[in-house]
Amino acid sequence: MNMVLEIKNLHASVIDETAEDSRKEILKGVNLSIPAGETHVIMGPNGSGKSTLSYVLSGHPSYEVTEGSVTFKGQDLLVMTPDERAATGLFLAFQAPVELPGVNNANFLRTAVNSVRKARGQEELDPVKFLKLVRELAKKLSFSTDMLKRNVNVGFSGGEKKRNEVLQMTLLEPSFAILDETDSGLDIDALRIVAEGVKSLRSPEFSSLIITHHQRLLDHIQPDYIHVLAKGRIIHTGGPELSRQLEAEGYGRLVGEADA
Amino acid sequence: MHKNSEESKDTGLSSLLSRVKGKNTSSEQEKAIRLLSEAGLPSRRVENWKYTDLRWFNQHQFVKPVPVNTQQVQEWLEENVFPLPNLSELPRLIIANGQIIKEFSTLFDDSNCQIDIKDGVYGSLGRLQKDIMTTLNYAIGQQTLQLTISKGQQAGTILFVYLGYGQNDGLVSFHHRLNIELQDHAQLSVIEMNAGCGEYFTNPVCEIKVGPRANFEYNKLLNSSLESYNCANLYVSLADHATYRQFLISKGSKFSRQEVYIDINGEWSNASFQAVQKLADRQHADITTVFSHLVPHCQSDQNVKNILTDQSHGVFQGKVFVHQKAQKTNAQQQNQALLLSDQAEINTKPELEIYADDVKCSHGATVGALDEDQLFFLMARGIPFHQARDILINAFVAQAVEDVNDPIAKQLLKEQLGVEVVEDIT
Ligand SMILES: Nc1ncnc2c1ncn2[C@@H]1O[C@H](COP(=O)(O)OP(=O)(O)OP(=O)(O)O)[C@@H](O)[C@H]1O
Ligand SMILES: [Mg+2]
Repeated sequence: MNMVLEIKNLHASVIDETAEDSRKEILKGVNLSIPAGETHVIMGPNGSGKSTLSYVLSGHPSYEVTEGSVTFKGQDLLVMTPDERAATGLFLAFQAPVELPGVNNANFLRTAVNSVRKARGQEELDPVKFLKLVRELAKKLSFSTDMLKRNVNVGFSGGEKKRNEVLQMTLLEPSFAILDETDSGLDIDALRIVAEGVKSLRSPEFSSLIITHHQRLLDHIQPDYIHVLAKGRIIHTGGPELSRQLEAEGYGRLVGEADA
Repeated sequence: MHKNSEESKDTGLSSLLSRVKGKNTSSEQEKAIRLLSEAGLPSRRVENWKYTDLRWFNQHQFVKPVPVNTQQVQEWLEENVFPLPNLSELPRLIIANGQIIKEFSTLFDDSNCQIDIKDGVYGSLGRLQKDIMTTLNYAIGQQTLQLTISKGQQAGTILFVYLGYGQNDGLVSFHHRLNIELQDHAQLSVIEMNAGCGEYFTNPVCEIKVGPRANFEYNKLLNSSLESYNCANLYVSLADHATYRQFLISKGSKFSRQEVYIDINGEWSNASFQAVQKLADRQHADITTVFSHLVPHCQSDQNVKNILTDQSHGVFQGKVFVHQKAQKTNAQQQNQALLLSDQAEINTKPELEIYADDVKCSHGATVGALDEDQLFFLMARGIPFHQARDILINAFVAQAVEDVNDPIAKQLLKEQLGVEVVEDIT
């Protein structure tokens, strides 16, 4: 099978200068392979390392990989800088998008789009073409164009920030997207819109990894596989029915079996 | 005889003073020379000079400026002023090595300003006893340029250019004196560019009297040679309902110290001071301010931003004084520093001295590196490191020039800061 992403025995620590023991291992041997065109889900208890995995995959400097490998589209992902990963087609929708005071959203979006286009050898978009594109997409996402004039995420509501993430995802045309709890804090309409956004990207060349605590989003997007991450490892993998089972019985039994 | 041969090898302050000793014309000058000879330059033990070291003075022998090569001046203008229609059309005053270059100065044909050039140094606001560089200006300065904007005159924008050219025989110094008076309801906006090459020392003093309901904007760009030493003392006095706005960008210079003294003498007046110090290598730049609220109902704000890389050193000492009569004062002061290297250093000393009880005064200081999460966020969106970093630096400084009223000045300052002139594309 043609794998987009292959994670093998991944160990990663957080570098926390303020902590007494400045290195704390969070990922303790993650194995995960995602074929092209599939949608996978990661569920798991709070603090189990889901966001850490997504940060490590996109290259956040606070985390250090101590063991293992990650291959993305046949290339060694871990040697790439975060911008190279984005250009190669990786996208992370953040659980907590940062605010950028003093940075205009529309200009930020255009800079981002043109950076990846340039790196991919595509023609850059002039302001007119870009605006036409971004307005169309914003409309589809019911994202008020006022948000384009404001500073990136500054003063945005939780839901608006998430929509801004989905807008960025759509604009950057990734081949692999990680959505870290993009569904949290969304109202019912917004949830449907986000789901539509993800579905519209679906193709044999697009895969995604959805991190979620809720069944709701999965009702809209039928995933291929669901993985459970606990204590820094994937402890169980199942089909789409697994989420309902977890919702009914919690993580206790699986975590207990893994510990045993 | 013995003394003379000693003097020729003199360095530091005494080599500078030897130029004027015994040739004094005015009593002010005499007094200044006496003060300097007695007290010498302040060491870092002097409170006000704790963070800024004048020891470089003694490593140099000061020499007299030679006449300027006007070809050099012309070349500078051809590169930096003439190609920009906005700038080249402004009435301008060009001063190179302390001399007014009349052939390039169009201000004299401009009827909106009255200009008067007098021999000797005159002034009424500068504190001869207290401020060492002002004393030095009185001691060595040769001439005073007086600019008057008469009652009700809207003088628009004028351009000052100060150029300095180093010499091989020693450290050359320029001690220009400029006094500006805006009468009732007058308006003036000044763009001042400082540039040059080689090693030199500039020490101008400027006094500005802003009359009742008058409006003055002063946009200064310190982009002097990276080998040069630049001190500048500025004294401002505000009458009632007057508005004073200053934007200062400090980029050039090996060493700079800029002192700003603002006396708010008239009710309902307003003073604003926005500065950016953008430093690299081993540059040292110091901004020292004293804002004195002497009457009620006035506002002042000061925002100083520092962007420091390499082993550069920024200093901001800001004092707000509120007299017991100055009720309903609203004074705000903010200092922010962005340290882009481990070896860069910032020293800040805010000081509030408040004797009135019904006032709003605040000050704050923040120091930090670029936010790692913000940088990562931009890079995760495909933006390469250097561009991402520039976007964040840009965001940090952009606000400082956002409020410049004069559109020509705004464009110039933004370009100089490397602030991308972000068009509103929406
Ligand atoms: N930068 C950091 N500094 C210190 N500890 C960290 C850091 N990042 C993550 N951790 C710790 O690592 C563990 C895993 O965190 P992570 O955010 O990956 O969990 P998560 O599975 O995403 O949880 P949630 O479901 O609550 O989002 C937690 O104990 C967290 O406190
Ligand atoms: Mg998380």
